[in-house]
Amino acid sequence: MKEIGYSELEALFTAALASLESRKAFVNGLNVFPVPDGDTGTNMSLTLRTALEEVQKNQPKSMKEFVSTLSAGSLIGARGNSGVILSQIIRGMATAADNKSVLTTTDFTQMLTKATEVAYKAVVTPVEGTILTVVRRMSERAVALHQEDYVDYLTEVIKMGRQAVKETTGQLPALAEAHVVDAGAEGLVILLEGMLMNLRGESVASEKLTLEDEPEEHMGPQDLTYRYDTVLLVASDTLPEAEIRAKLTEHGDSLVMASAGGLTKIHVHTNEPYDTIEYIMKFAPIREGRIEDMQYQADEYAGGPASGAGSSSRTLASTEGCTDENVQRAYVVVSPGPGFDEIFRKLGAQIVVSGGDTMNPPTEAFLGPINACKAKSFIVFPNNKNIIMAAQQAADLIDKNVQVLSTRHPVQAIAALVQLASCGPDDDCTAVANQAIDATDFFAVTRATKNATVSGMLVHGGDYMLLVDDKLVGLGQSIEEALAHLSEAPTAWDDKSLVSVYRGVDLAEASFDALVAMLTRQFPNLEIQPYYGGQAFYGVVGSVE
Amino acid sequence: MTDTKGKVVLSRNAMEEILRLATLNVYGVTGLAPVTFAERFTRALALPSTPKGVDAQIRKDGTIEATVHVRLQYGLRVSEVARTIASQVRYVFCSMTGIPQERVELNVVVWSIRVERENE
Repeated sequence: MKEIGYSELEALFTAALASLESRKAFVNGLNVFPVPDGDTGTNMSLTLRTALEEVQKNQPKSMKEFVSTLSAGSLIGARGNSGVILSQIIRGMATAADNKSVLTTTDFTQMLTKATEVAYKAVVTPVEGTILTVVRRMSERAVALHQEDYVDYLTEVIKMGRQAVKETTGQLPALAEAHVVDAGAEGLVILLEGMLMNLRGESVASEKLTLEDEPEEHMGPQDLTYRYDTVLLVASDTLPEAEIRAKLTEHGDSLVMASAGGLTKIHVHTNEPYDTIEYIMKFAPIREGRIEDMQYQADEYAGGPASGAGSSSRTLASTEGCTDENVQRAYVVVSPGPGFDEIFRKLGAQIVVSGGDTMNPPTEAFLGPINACKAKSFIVFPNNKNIIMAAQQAADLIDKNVQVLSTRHPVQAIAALVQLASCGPDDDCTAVANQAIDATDFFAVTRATKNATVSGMLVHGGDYMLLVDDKLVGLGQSIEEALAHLSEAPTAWDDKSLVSVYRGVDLAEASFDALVAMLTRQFPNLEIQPYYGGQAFYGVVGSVE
Repeated sequence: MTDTKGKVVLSRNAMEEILRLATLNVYGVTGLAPVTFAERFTRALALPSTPKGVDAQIRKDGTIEATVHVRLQYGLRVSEVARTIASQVRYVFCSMTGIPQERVELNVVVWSIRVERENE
């Protein structure tokens, strides 16, 4: 093919997205520290997905319409740093293609050149070894090419892109230390590879485009008070929010309203979606809507295959004991596994939200339950450094007395809850909780997801790592070997008396017992208390207090 | 910060310099904005100057409140860039100074958007 029109270009971008989505997990894994929490692949694919959804909605009839819709869509869909850069690249490409009706390879070269120019403009000191370097080198290569056929042309451009991606490792110290390439750069080349596959007539295993924001957390089998998940996009951003909130929460919960750029998105769980639609239409026309039967989803999922992570079959958040209006203070805890759920419940937590590494609950997971709970004030334990922000955001959005404590690990919340049990109505309970949190050291054993150098130690993928207060302390070929390094932890434990250890979902009970016996021998002066935690990824976690 | 003997003092100036550099490295930030009245005045007179762009305060309880005033490139999703500034600058600042993340409050003020004419 020597020329492409706007509909072929759309097909190329769709194939690019499919290509990235099929390798999203790989790109996500290219984060620098070997604990799994990367999201570059997710961010880039969501950005492009929104852009293409915008195209599907607007049905462009010309190249100009197509590229400007794609560019506008990627702007509103931009997520994360890599998504923002991708949106600039798309904007640059759009500017160069704007006045063309068909694109030759020479035009495509101009698009890459413009993309590079626009992408570089948005940063004061461009850092080499990122997505920027790769887009620039591909465009430089493209300028030197004379291939008129798109397949030959893109093959050459991608060859250069691949080489540039490989070289990113040596360009940034953090990447060199971790022996990885830059995730954003890899994502960009994967996008172009998807385009090439489409041109060759090969298909990428692709998912269908939907209006979903992102895949929803699965719910466990349960009876739902409100059955229909209703999302409406309303053509006004000046709705009387207080009035609507009051009305909708009469017959629904989990209400979220957000306005921007002439639109308001309303999300509510209700049993009367028709009434909701009728009511909202009194204020402004509805642009778009989606109604989902959550009961069906829950049943469907309950009958589906068991998940490997073990924890995703749990409900997103449970709110037992929240109907009592006399509760002064309710505790909201993020829990990484079923064992922890139970421990938190026993310690008096009213709201337990599922979440942990690679499974960060969204702000909404806090909003719904806290809004539904009748207690007078709330203390939130995010229990993960990546969740603190979402919890804080939820607290800011709620018109109730909500306090977020910066717990980075579930065991800190356990220590705090134990102390809070004896906190009277006149005491400064936050201080009591913070004191318990500070006095608790935590440790965890997990497997490295890839080769890396961390704190001067060479880690191989598959090694077990012992982390104390999130810092790497020792390595081993087994959980036992890694855990044995606990005595080398830099923290002084002379004033400590109790070690609690929690068994992960993937660790057999017998091996756990052996570990407990080993710890008992290793720390004769400390009491060792074993529990079942049920957390994923971390074979063993524990606290010292 | 205290050690066994002597102490390490981190001046406000040093903190602000770290914040400045970290902010300028964020994708989407095309410059810093004048913070003080004097700076705005200098700028109004078109005198050569580099705006400081950041303001750090050490509170009585030892926590730090920092505000960065930025100019962003036109055509970017402002909320996402601001979010990136908040997390990236905080990360760099805290890892360079050793101050725990929860003791730093970081505000981002988007001062202006740099627009230039698209020539094609």
